Amino acid sequence: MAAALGPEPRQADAVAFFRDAAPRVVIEIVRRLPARSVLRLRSVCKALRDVASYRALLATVHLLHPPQPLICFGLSACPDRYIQLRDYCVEALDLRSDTLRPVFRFTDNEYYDDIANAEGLDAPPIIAFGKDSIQYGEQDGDGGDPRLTVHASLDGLLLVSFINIWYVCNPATRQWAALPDLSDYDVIGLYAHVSSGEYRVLYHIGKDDEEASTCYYVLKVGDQVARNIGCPISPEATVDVGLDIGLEPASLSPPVQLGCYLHWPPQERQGYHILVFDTETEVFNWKRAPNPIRNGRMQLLEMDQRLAMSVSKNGKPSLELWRLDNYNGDIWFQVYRITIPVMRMPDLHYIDWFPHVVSPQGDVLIECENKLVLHCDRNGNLLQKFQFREEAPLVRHTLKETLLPHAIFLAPKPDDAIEPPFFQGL
Amino acid sequence: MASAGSGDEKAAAAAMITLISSDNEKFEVTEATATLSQTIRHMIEDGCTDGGVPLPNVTSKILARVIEYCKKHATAAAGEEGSSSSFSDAAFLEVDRAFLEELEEFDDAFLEVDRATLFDLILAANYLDIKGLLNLTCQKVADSVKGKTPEQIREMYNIVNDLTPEEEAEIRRETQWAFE
Repeated sequence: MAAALGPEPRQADAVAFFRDAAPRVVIEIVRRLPARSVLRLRSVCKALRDVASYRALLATVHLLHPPQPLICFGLSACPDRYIQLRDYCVEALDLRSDTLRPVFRFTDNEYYDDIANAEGLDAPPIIAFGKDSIQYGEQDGDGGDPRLTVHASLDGLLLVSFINIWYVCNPATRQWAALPDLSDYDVIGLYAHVSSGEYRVLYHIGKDDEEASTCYYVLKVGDQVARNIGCPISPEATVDVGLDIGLEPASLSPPVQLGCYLHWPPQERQGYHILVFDTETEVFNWKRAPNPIRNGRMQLLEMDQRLAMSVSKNGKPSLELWRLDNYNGDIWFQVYRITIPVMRMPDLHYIDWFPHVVSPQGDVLIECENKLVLHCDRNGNLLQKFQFREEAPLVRHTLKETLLPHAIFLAPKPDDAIEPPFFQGL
Repeated sequence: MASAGSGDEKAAAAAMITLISSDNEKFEVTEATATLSQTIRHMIEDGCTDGGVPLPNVTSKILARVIEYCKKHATAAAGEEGSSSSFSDAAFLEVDRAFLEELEEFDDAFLEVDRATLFDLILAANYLDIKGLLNLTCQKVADSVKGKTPEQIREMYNIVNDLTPEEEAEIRRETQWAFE
């Protein structure tokens, strides 16, 4: 722009640019956009629609998205007034910028207890959606507040429930598929059935009754009825440590899928072995975990298409990230040994806290008793604090956002399907 | 090392690279500046920079801007190497911080270009494989689209909507919320 008055700026031909630019360039731009902006690009013009819907591009951008820990919590919707409404929230934490992004947020009745009921207090009207769709009342188990529960996160899809309504949904596109009510079962995983392209839920019946034997069920997302697969152990298994005892629910101990295999973190119920489900032959087997981990808490993550495991203990400053370098030989390698400088972190004094490694880069999140979540890097440097107000947040899953189309959302919805309320507060 | 004098001259000459734009303009840059481009780094490693590096995809106007960016960031890279030693006193960190701020200001000013130039810079950054410049310019384009409606994007980039009303309605129906 040499001329003093400045010539008319050249017309930027965005259509030609996006159409002709190298894939890398388009990828670098699209990966920096929030999902909403990519979806909007599709309705700008034909060329941009084609760019923003191109499967190979969306697949690459999905792979480049760093996994973001999901933080689930609830809070009173009107803290200054006596109105029993509650906000149910799930937010994704971007570990690079230390910012929280809402994934789900909606308002509903605060679960009002039996005493309130006995005193004849009316529950406030539900603003969000028809009360008929949710069956409140008898909470089984330990009762307490209802939670918006994330059971599984896979390929950018979340298996999520609120009391008796269950869904698989893609929070990036807000597409959803309703599932039957699985509240009476222990949901232990969501997986991709590689050979058919289906998504399937794996659950078992709880072992409340000594006499009853545990049965595992496979439910194809989109179906209303599950298939009983019994309690199948691989003929190659050399031990059976406790398939009959079952597993902790996936909402607390989520499994990780690699190829056709689904892996659960070592649990006491499984003799601290890693339980493995072969999704094609539908049999269970076990793998060895790294040695020195008893009494610790283990969580699995994926690292360079290999299995990795965070090993940590409540209130203990040192934690580890292990990687399974030789899958068939069960050879684990300690990638990081991380020490939290507790003496220099007053937030951790005199309270209970639980650290765990949440990323292949060694990011550590510390969940504290006082509803504080701390983010440290692998050198133990405190990067950010997140103070939650009312409920201790739960951090068990990571989300890798996707805009890839999924067939499960295209099937016609049953007439009685209720639209999930989860996005109403966003 | 037969003759120290001519050796130094040779070293100094070897450390300069000539870049030739599509409109045949020649630019002399130091090797440190040029090697921010991975493409040129590989050419230097392969020993094919004698007689200059022709860049048929980059005009002199864009190449001048790219070189401006590389010069600034090459100094920054050299500065970082210097400071990564065991010095960690406050004064040193202060200098570092000031330098990073200056670099940020430079980047902001650098991006004050019209959209056609921005697109050209992206294509050049990709062709020359300059990661920092590619990140910077792509972020600028992404930021320009963020939070905008399709109508605003069309207006900003002079795009004609060639979707039929039916096609547009179908796209909006799929993810209605994104347009609210």
